[in-house]
Amino acid sequence: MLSERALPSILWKTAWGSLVQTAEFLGSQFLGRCGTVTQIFALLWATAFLAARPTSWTPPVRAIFLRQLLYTGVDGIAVTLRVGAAVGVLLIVQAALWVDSLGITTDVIAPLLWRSIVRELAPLLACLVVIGRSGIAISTELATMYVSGEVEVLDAQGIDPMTCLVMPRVLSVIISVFCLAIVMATSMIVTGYVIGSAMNAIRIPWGNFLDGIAREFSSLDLLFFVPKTTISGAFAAAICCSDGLSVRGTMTDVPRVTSRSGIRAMTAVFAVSATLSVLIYGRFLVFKIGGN
Amino acid sequence: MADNQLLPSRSMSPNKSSLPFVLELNEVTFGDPLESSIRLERACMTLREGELALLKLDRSQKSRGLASLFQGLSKPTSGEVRFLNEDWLGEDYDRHFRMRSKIGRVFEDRAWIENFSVADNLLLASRHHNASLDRIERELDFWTDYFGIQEISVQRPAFVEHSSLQIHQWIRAFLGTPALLILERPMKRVSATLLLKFVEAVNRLRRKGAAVVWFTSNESDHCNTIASPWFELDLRGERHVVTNGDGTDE
Repeated sequence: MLSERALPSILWKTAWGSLVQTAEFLGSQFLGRCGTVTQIFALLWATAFLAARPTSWTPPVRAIFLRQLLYTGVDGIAVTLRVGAAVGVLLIVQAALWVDSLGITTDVIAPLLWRSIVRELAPLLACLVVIGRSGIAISTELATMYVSGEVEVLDAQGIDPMTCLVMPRVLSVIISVFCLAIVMATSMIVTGYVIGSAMNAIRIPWGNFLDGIAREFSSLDLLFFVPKTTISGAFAAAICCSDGLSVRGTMTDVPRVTSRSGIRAMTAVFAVSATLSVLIYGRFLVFKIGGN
Repeated sequence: MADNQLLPSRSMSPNKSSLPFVLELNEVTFGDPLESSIRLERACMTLREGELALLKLDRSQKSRGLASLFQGLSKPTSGEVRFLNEDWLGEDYDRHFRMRSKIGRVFEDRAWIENFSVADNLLLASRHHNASLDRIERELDFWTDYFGIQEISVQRPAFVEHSSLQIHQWIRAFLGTPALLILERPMKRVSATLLLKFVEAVNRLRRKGAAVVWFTSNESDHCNTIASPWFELDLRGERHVVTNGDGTDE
């Protein structure tokens, strides 16, 4: 039987034990995350170092790079156009609603649309398309190669898997995200104009519409567009490669690792995008209507 | 110490002490407790230019771990493995990759990059290490003629017949005149009638200075045409201390 005096002591010990366990859990999670981030930065640093070294670009590495660029960049154009067109329609419908309900003119809404497309939507959506089409495929390919001993075969022949497998893939993804984001933005704008004209929401000729966009274009747009596409793409590629090569066990572990890799890459892209917005704008409220 | 101490069971080794070492094992302890792995305890072995070591394994034993140890891909529990008087220690990975580029290996299994064609696989290492294309093409022509292959397959490995793949693997290992040849059960999946031809090809490379480690569990691989100097080491059973691979007692 527990005495009434002992009860507070037991409760205190239990509470303290739970607190310690929680702290241990949080600490291990924090250290684990730090380790993962360090690993990703290390992989990106190694990629930059290897890419800058001319001796890395042997004929097989060039071939792997071009093949990955073809698959990720060129083959991704069609799906990017489709996604861009769909989002362009959604945007123009929303814009038409705002114009009608707020009684504002197209001149007010156009800069907002342009900036949201170039600075936020196009880089983000291009990254998501690349992760969906190629990131998970890269992760699966590398994990399968690792489990089936192909990475060891490369190593045994004196071929650095980092130079031959990781570096060309990371670079291809970065270049592809940048180029596909341009395709995405173009697709959104063209579709937006076509649908907007059909809905009578845009009442100016195509030439004037383009002139308006050119006037809106500022060097600050590049300041957003280039880092958002390249840094997000680099993180997505690094996560997919790192996860693919970290698989242990048998072939049945591959799907688990690669699905986790896709989710992690997407989470990272959103986080990087948000962080860059905060850093570049210097504020948490990223949209400033009518301003820069 | 070891349960048993194994000396070369048979050797044909004239005095070759003047030739440089290619592969050295100094007091190497290696291996996990799995039944299929080869376990070494404080093993010493030296292999000089032109020598061949025939390592006899049980059918259940996997050669991959020990072969990877020779290539610096696995680390010994203790001791040191040296290749061409250089160790596999440290983080100078470029040096390690350069060293490995001088080793030809016939894998027992899982030998190909499945996304590449067999032809791409064959030339991958040579092209990566910027070997002269003319020389590689000459060697390729020679070995395809020698083994009677009509042409190098441009199919992916999954679509090529096993015996043909194995011969392609021999050719890949022989390209670039390697300093060390690691042959993991090279006669697996191919007709025994090719043994003499294969041994002659290996002898040819040995005359050019290649040292050879040949893993086998087939008695019929002990071909009379293996040129001297060569020796056998029996690695079947429990842990092994292998001493003086050059054929002399310690």
